[in-house]
Amino acid sequence: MKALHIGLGLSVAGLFVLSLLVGPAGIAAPEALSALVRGDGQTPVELVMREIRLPRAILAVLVGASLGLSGAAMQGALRNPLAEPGVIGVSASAALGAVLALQTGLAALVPMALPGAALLGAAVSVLMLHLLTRGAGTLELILGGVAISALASALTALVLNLSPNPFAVHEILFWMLGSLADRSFVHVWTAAPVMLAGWLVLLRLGPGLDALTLGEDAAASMGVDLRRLRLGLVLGVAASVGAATAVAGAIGFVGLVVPHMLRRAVGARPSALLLASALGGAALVLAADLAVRVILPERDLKLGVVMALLGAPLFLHLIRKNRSLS
Amino acid sequence: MSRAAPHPQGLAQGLAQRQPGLHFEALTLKRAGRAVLENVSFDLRAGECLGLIGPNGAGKSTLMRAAMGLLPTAGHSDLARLPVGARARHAAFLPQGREIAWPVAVAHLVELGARAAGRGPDRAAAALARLDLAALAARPATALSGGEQARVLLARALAQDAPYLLADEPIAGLDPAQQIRTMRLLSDLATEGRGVMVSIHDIGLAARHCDRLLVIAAGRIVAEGPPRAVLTADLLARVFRIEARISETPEGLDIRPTRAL
Repeated sequence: MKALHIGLGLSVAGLFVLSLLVGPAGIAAPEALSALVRGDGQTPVELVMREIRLPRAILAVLVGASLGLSGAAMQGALRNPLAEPGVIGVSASAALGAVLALQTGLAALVPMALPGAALLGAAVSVLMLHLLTRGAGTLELILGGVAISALASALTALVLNLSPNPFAVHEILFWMLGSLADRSFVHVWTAAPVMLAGWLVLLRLGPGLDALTLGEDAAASMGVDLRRLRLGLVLGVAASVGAATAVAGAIGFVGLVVPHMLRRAVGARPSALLLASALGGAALVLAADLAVRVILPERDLKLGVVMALLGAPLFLHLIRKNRSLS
Repeated sequence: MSRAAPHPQGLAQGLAQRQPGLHFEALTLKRAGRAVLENVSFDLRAGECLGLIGPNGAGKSTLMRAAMGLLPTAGHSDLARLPVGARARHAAFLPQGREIAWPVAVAHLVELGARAAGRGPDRAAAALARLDLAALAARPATALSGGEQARVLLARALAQDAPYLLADEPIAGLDPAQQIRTMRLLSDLATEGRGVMVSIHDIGLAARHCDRLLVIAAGRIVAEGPPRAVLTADLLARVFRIEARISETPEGLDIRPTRAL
């Protein structure tokens, strides 16, 4: 178990450094790394490293960890390997918030309006979900989430449908593909506190998720407060995935694939899967964000697109492998 | 699994009267206007194996869950009024559905019980040994047979080492040998001083292994007492709609359903 965490941690560290070294500016590795720590941050190389590549790599880690951790928590709580963070409607609602900010032009006027509106969208969806399913069980929670997700997607489509401005439509569509390009430390500071709060809540769900392996009645009889657990799940996922969507757009498959990849390695225990999936998600998003820059450096290839292209075949492979083993 | 001789029932009941127990009073639950439980009151004494019998849909599982505090129910339950976090130390609950969501190792699942009740890993090891699971401890529980899984789940409940155990149909779907072993284990636990409540469909096994029976029909308790007093031809016909041959055998009371009415 410890070896797995160390291995994943080293992969994240290695990919993080690699992410700092890859980019169109073509800076040599020693120069690039020394520009991070030396000097006053005014030379072009120092600016590229500190203001472009460093925040991008940090965001990849934050976004990946948020998605992986949320996916593991969702699958554990719903006792379903098909669950993913999008199930409760947070991603779609955060995207709707962002789309409204883009469409109204607010995003262009106020610096942090886009991620702010996305976070607001996520918060509104969680509030709706909470009011709709207060006191209800897990099934109602999923169904409520699916409904909210569908509503948010429909409203996003409506905005696109009625948009008088083709440029705005273009911008919205590109944003929705998901990307970490051209992000700054302002994005990091906006998203990080919200994500970290979400992580803290989710990482504490471990013992309850373990008990839920035996079903809700068994878990409740073993002292798990199911209502509190569901509330923690919704708030934790909303904070981390809402913030991730706010800064990176919609990045699919991480929350679904990463827990699958690591489940066997942690002995299938939901509690052990949480931290492992956070590290695995960070590594996967760092790797995909590297692939985006290496495969087609001149064409602004979108992270969400590459992730789905990588994730879907990987997922199919895992399904086949698991079937042959069971 | 333990195969000790069955305890003399008189002794256990003598002890039970002096020992504490759990009290349940006027448990009532209405669903869509229909009473699923109506004014159900009973005690579960320390040192007794209390059998809950009744036809399908009588409310056995509902009563077990209500007693454990897993359903919001009107009335009083000694367990339901405990804070959620303190329940696991007082009573272990074995739900009817045998759910194991992930391929977790047997040992880890059994440890869940010990940890939930704040007990050390020695209780988990003891529970594994008592249910003959030591050799399977490292196997993923989902890869085991249905009977082995049932033993794993029972071991998890035992690992809580709580003074009371509520088991909802623990022998459903098991082969005859394991049905007998499981009932023997439950009555042994009672002999050791625990209060055991078990819902069960096999009236014959209930008669032989339980010290006292609680008969429930349409959400009400219709009879209560020692098996010999409760299981009359009249009650079997009235509550279970069966005709049965009732006979005394060297193994205890024998109830053999012969005809559905």
